[in-house]
Amino acid sequence: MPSLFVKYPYLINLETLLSRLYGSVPPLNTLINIPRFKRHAVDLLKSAIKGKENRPLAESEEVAIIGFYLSLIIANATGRWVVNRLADRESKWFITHAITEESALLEKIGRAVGAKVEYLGSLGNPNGFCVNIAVFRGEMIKECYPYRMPIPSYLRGIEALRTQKRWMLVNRIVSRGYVYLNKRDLVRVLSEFVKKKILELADNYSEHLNEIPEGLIKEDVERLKELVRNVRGFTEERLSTETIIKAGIREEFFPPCITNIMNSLLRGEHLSHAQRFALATFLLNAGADIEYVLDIFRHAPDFNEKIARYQIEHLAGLRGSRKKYSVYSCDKMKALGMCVAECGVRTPLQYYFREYRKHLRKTRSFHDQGGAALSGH
Amino acid sequence: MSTMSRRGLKSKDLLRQLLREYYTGAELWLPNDYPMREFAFQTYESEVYVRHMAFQSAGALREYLTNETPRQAYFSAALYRDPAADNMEDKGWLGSELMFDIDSDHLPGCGEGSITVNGRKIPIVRRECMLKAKREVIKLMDVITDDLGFSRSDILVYFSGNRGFHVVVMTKDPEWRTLPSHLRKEIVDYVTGKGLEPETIVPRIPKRARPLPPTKEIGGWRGRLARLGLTYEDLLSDPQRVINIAGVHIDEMVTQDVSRLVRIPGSINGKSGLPAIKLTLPGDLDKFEYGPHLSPFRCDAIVSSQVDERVKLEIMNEKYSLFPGLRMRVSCYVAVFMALNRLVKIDRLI
Repeated sequence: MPSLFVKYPYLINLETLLSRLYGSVPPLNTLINIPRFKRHAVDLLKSAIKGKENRPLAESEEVAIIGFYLSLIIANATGRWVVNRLADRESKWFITHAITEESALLEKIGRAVGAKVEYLGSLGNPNGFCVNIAVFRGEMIKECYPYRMPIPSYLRGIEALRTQKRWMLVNRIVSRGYVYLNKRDLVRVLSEFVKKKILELADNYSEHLNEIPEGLIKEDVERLKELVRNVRGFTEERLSTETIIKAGIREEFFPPCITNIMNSLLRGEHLSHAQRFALATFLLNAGADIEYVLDIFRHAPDFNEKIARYQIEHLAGLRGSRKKYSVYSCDKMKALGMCVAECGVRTPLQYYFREYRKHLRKTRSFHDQGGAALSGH
Repeated sequence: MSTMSRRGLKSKDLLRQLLREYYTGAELWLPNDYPMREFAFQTYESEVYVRHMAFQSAGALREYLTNETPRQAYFSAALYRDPAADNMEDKGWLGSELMFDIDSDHLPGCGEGSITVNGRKIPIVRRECMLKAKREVIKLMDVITDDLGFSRSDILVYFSGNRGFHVVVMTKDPEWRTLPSHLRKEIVDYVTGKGLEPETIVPRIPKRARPLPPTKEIGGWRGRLARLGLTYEDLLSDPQRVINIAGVHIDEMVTQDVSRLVRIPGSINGKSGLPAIKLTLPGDLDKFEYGPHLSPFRCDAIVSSQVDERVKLEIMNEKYSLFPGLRMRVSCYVAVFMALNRLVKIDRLI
């Protein structure tokens, strides 16, 4: 039976482990030079990139934990997709394995990944909080909830699950500030915390990348990139925002919220101040010039070229305070009732660049293979 | 200045004088952490909003209100590192209280709630709709305490001074305070019942088992059904009806907005001339009745009409008709309401 940290290495801080094992914290470039640590790190990443739900288990806690943290550094060097892939796989692996853990242990695991879980059971009553729901053949049928989480903690956990109605707070057992959960649902919520924790750790460890001499991991990174290319069809080569802006505005990559506003405008409908602001700042930040934005606003029923030009130039930072206005965040768009879909991004602009990037990658990959241009632009 | 000494007073702007006198002695309520909040006002003359202000003492705020007599006075539900910074990015958002707004004109059967005169929206508030709004507040209080787990001492409830109530959960819990807007939407849906799926609420039981009704102890929407005497059958047969009964009619945008402004309890609402009144729970809320007694302006006034054409309106269920050239004697609460909405000029206080 593998130990807890072999299964879930992110539950312990690397520095804590190193101090415990060696009495001090050796530098990362020393650790990465030790083959069994690096081998495990690379194996973890290989299996994650290949999409394997099962992952290699290390022979000891030492290898499991150090290997895991080194995998974060190598993943950062390979590309963001690999980091996400690793977090995703670990989260799925957690769902499969945590369900078999002792009920009381899940409270500790939960707390270690940032979830404020309380186990309500005891030796005498492992079921926790129970309610009578029916009578069957003279026997009381109970529904039991061995765990609870404070509402804000639960909400942070289900952030990515909210599109499924069963996770919405309104469909949960909520009492006195807590959400009551059975074991299966708790594990699913905790798996989201696991994903967040790994992404957070990966961000922290990205800063350590410059502590590792490039030559130490270069070959491994190249091999992993090759693997990514085989799986995805292209590598993580970053297409810069400037490259995309230079390629010109492409309305088919606009996010649904902006398309919605723009369609209203093109139908000659009257837009609110917030809608105008959202559309104009989006277009300007996506690289559109003043004339392009102005032409779109010509469809407004109250269009006045002089006023519109002044306002657009103001938003572009060419007038007044000389400050270029940013786009509304998705949170703000939601609060203003303009968000129409869950796109998994923080701003409408991020969606645009993401979709545009995907398209450019596809066309590039096609070019690489000797194909003709796919772009209709 | 007392009403007695004001008698026969004739000056240029008696409305402003009434507001100034009010603020000299008004009981203003501020949270302890008010130096970390942004203050905002609508100016008396030009009616523009002045934002990004901060006060280090309650005395300084009173002085501002007395001197400037703003039409509206607010503090932010959010706490900031630098509340006076000019733009939101520089303020350093530290968190925001959970806020709910219940407006009587948004309740079923309570209509539009305003008329437009010279491009200005003038509120019409009906006593029966305020009673409905009060019932919504009582329902909301049960959800906030029984389900969300806050104690009554954490909750600030007040009459907005116009047509509804504000409920602010003054929590110190950083987990609640830093809840982002899109997760506050979950609270909105919980309170209103949006997204409720009867199949997930009603327990699954074996075919031949005898189901037991929901009980108050279980919490969640099951508990809410029990509190209102509703059954699982009610929910399954007509979910929308149950949601209409048990859901609370709140303004969804207010609860989701993490940089919302809160009217200062004790300040005058510039749309109506009534003060925002803090209500203790449960006593004040139970006793609350909408009417002229809520006005602090206890005098009569001679007013002259400022309208260009005949205007019919209703103030506290009393009907008034204004036409050009009219001069009349009215109670001060009516005079203040009309003067704030630029329908009349106050010529004399009696």
